[in-house]
Amino acid sequence: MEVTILKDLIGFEIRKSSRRPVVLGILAIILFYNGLMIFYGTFNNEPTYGMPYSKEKVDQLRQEQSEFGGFIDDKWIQNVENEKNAILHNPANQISVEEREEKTQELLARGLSREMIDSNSIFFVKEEVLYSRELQRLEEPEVASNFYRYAGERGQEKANDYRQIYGGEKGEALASRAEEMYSYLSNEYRAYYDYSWGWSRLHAMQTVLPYTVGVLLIVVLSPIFSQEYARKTKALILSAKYGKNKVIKAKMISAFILSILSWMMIQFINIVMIFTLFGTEGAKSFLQNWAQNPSPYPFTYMTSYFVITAMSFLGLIFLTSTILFISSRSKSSVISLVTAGVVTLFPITLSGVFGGEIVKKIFMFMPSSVLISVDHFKTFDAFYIFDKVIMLPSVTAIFAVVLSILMVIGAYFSFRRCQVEN
Amino acid sequence: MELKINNLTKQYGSKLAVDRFSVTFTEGINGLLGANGSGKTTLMRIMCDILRPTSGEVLLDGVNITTLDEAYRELLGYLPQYFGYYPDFSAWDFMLYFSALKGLPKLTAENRCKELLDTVGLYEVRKKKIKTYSGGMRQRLGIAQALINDPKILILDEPTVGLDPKERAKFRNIISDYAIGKIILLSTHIVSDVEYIADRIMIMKNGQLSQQATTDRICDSIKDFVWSLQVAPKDVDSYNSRFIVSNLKHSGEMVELRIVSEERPSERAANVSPNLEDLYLYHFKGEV
Repeated sequence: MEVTILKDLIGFEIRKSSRRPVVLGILAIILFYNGLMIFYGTFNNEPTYGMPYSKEKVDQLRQEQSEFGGFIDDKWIQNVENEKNAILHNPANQISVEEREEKTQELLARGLSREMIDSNSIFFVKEEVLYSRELQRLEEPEVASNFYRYAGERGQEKANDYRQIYGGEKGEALASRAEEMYSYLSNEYRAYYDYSWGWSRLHAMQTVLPYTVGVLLIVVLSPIFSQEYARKTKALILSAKYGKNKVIKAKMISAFILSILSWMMIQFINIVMIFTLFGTEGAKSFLQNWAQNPSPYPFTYMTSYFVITAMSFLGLIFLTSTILFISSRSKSSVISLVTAGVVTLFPITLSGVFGGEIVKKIFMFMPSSVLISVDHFKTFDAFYIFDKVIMLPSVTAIFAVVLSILMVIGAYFSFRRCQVEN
Repeated sequence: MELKINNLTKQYGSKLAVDRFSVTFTEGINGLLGANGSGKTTLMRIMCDILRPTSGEVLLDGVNITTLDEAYRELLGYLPQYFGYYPDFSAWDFMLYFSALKGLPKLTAENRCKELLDTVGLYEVRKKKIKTYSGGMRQRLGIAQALINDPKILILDEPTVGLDPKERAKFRNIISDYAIGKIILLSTHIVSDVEYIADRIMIMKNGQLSQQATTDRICDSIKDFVWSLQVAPKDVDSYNSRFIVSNLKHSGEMVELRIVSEERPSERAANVSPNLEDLYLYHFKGEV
């Protein structure tokens, strides 16, 4: 009977939180916004540099990049090089002899040496060929050819930074770990190249979660305790048999059920829409973009998505616990809503404003950052704690778990011990 | 069953809301009379274990209610002074929610909700959202929810606020029927609410128990202090300023006054038997 009553209470709490006109309105808005971002979102971290969706572009990239689908090895690199040379050295793509002579004179006048001019056939390629898709499609594979070299260089750079900034044991430990991880990517890991816009868009859409799932949860969950104070129903609840135990558990369970369902709904919509529009190819592909996303982790897009999803789930629990805690401490639904909104959305909105490394690092521990979770794996970030190097995702996960537990306990006792004074 | 309040004090800053209050409640209807701010609500909240006292304790059959915790709340029904509700819930959902909160199995809960909503006259409109209800309807819903678990201890804080005379009469009948074998504490500043149905009456003033007795003896303390007197209209103001005038009635050329006073207001004044309203005015003369 006890379990049945708890189930009944959970059902009522879910209805109390979700069956409000404002919730339906917000749900409609965030679904629309989410759809809009899938189509028109510009995400600079994507290999496509934030290009909005277009069927032609998807077909074109899919065709061009799938052609080079495979593990990046010497043969693959050579193949890209050969393709490029075949275009550049094709006599049909070269300018005429007269034009060649004129171009050479122009380059000599600019100060280039004759050896350099003669060894770069690209100077004598027709302009329409230079800007043709035939040649431009090789840009991405050409960059990918340097994957292992870039990984090695990045590791060295990072290691040098640590040695310079910290020095001593800490600097050396962090540097060694950076070298070790990037060295693995450079020497042992076999990167796979493929068309992967669908997977990269799926990753990019993680950054939208605070504005979809986050906003929805703020609206749905922030009144969960605070409305009992504001509506003066706490006196009725706290004087009832299960008012100081089961109903609090029911509120918390219903909050977690609602948050998990909202998160799953958005993830499901994203997966279905993105894979339908952008394609499912690229699961095995590497995700490093050395300018924007120099990740030291040897993840493919698929493994990365699993890791990020797991971390994002943790962020969801963290965010839900935070909202529950805020709600239990707020005497009005409006204060609860505003506080939860500030805690959830401000760090994300302001992360672009505050440039300081420390501030950015603090933001990484905010619930909404953990909900996004992609940024935790984007660069090499680690802490030196108790003579050990611990990577940022691990520290964040531990922090989120510990704080979530504390906040849930805090919310429980805050409501249980709440006094009805006015 | 005995509910004992033992030297209870609640202090907010320098203000004593409840001041060394001691009383023992036994089965029956206990009326708690007091002006606004006299500490009735604070006392009731402490008795419902939703407000911690500064000192003192509430004991049910000798055991502190905070120790009894859930076992105490299982016996408790409470209607607070300001009855909170969920505007988007129907009365039916609201009652079922509180049935679950009070540990009633679903089938029992449904039967009980039906019975109570019928009793308070809300069964026909049970599916309507509470936000569409009038103040009186909401108050009746509050009374119904307080009774849902068939409580052995029923605490009602100003339960008749917002009810019309017919509804108040009905409420009194419901409570009278319900009172057998239960401890009912009913606070009010409306004398007629308790006059007809209370077995015992307590008067609370400045957080202290000012007086208590059975309803038929409560007025004994002022039996020599209530007077009836006929005066000329021009003298009314003078009497009003010097005495507590509990009633004023024009009778032909003269005005008939009912005065509560320890001293005889006039040689012509005749002693009459006091009622609860006279007693209330006697205690709260400075506050009305």
